[in-house]
Amino acid sequence: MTEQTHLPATDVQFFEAHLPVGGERLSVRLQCTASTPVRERSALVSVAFYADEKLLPPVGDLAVNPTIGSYAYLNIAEHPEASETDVAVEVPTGATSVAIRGHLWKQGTSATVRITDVEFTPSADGQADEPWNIASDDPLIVLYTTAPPMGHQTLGLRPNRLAREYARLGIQVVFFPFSSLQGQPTRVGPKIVQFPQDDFHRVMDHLATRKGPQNVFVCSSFPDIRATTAIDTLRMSGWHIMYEVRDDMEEFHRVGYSKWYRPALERRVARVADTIVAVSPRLATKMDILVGAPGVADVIPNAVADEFVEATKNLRTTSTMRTRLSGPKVVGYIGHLTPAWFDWPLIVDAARKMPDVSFEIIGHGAPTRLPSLRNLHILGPRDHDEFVEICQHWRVGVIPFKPSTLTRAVDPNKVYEYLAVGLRVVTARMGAVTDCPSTYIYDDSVEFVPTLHEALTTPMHGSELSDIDDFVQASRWSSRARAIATKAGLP
Amino acid sequence: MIVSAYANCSMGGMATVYRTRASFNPEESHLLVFQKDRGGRAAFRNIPNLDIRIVPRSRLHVYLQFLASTQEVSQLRITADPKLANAVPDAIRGRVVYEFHSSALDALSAEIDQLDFNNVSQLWTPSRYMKTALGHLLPEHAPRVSVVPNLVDTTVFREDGERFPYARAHAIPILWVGRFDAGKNVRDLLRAMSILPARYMIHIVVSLESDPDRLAQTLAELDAYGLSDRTRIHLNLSQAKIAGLYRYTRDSGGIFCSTSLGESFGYSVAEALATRTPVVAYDVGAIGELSTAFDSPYLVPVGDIEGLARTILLLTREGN
Repeated sequence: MTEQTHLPATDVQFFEAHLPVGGERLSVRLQCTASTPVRERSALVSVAFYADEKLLPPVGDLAVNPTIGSYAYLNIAEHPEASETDVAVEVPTGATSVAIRGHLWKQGTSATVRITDVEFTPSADGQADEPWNIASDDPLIVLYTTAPPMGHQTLGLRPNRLAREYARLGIQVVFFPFSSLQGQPTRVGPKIVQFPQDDFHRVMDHLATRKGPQNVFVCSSFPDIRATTAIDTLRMSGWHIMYEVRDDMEEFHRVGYSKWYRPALERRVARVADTIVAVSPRLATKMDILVGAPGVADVIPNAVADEFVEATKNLRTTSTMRTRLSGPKVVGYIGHLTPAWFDWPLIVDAARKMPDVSFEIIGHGAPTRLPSLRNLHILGPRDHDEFVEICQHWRVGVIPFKPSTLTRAVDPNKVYEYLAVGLRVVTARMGAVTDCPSTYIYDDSVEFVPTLHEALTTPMHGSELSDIDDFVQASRWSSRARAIATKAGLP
Repeated sequence: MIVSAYANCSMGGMATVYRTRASFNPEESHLLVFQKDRGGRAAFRNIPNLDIRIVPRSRLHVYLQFLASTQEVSQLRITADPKLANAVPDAIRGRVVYEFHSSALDALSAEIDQLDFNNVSQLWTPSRYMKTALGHLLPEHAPRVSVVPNLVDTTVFREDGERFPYARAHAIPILWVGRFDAGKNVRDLLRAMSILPARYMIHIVVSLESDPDRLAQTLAELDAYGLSDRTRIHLNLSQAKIAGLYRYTRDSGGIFCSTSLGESFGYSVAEALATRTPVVAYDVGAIGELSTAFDSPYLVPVGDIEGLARTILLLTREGN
């Protein structure tokens, strides 16, 4: 509830506002103006909650004074300016009203204050949208992930994209991002709710009463202490447990990230899971070894958004490809540019050796000191629409990742995006790229330039475009979601 | 109003102490003042006569001062915080109860060394065992120690009620509740289980664990003893779920096992008994004081792993 209040400004020391309580968290905005020279920490408001007429113990969110109780200093500006202060406190249980009173602590100060906004909201740990309203026989997928929260338009990793597709298949989804909800809502669709990590045990304690394999817990590359133990609890209620391996978290841990990771926990999750899905053959093999059962993990690679496939269908045409192959030789890349995995020496060396080829690099995180080359263009971050526009004059999309255990295991989303916009791809060996059409793979830096040259100059063969289109059509997130749901035994 | 002050608002043992005290005395108003929010707020929901506040340490003294001047504070109960007890506002002095709940004698000694007994009107501890132990540690001028047993929430931990999970087990469940620390001593449970037939299933329930190394260590030991496939580890279950797990264990012919090396009260044993789940436990601390009208725990000398395994065999349907 938001209330705009238009009460006149009142001398601070006579200021007193009584508000009925309408939520579990109170936010008040106050505006304060001094008619005398400003003295910091001279004006303040106390906040006292009442249950009917009875004063309640003070809240702990604010500073406390032995005489006036909980208080907050007011920011103060000299007339005609006004300064604003936001005061936010948890509303105590049973409170029916709140009194906000002004106080002056320093002689010689004269100031006025007024409330400009009052808002009561549900508690931060609110239970407004509990997932246990889901019917007991509804298929349910709980996604426990290292992904960002749902709702952010540009931060969509595999779990976020799959969650939307599961919902489209009629499956209820409870989504746990890696962090808090970062301001995103709890309910992000008719069949998708999300909760912060801190709510995990509370939510799962309720969900654990659901019985049967139509309930699926997907540990998506996050085999931490919570997932490892929750899986044991859910197995007792007959849930289907899936371990989805998107990255080699052991490698992230080795280079200083993923501090929650322990090999013993991942092994436990892999061993007790009913099904294992990996995004790349490398990760699938690792799971086979951890479990000690060859072929236990299925490869279900990454994909491309259905909307993107539709929006780019005009780029997968003969005329576009002919225009590209007859135009200037332009090689492009879109993605993160961190030197941690983007192989800058490889690209700079290629640009030097191939002066007739332009290299256009889109993304953020580029090193500040790159050699100035006529044919190397750092375009900075661009959104998807801009990428679609720019890539129309590219001939090849590259994925020049440094060789490492970490990059070998990755299945890069951009290979699907490049193919969706009708580009040939030159990539380091990784993920499931060997299965991709029009994709040229290099194994070391010596091979890069000749491989790139081959991709740039090889004439288009008869079925190349239809092969690309068939592959892209089959590589939608919707088809991946169906494959995973089927694997989990969901209808 | 009774005010209780404790460091962390968590789902730990003190949450149960405070919750049950308020629940069983609905005519008293209880305010719990914690210094840090450790995710325990849910433990105190839906108890009309109980309210909580999180007040940082730096504000606590002034907070209590204001509280004493605006509310009728009949008692201030402090646990594991001698410095706070030494600095209580004058208005509350004389109404301070200091509570000893730790079973670790070195921790008790440290508290006693710091505590100014002139500020304290009463000393409480939850068992006769603890009273005796404190008797050896307290100075002569300390107030007399009263035994105030902790209360089991018998609305949750009761004989009837739902099982969790609902179906009975095919294997014989052996339930253990605690933490992965040396004092709770999960290792002896695993050793006892390693010499029992494979038809036994272990359920380990832990709370407040966040260190992956401690879980990894336990998993390594499970592997070493060949117990991985017949062990389930549960983290941070609600009280209702734990009670359901006791009943599931009981109804499946299983037993609750405590390998703790020291207990000031023995909450998990008391809760198991309240659900009429058979209990075997090391004879330590206050465990021997626990009984109900129907049951008491079977006690085994501490460290007697063979005896523990033998008693499990005797008490479970496997042994009958």
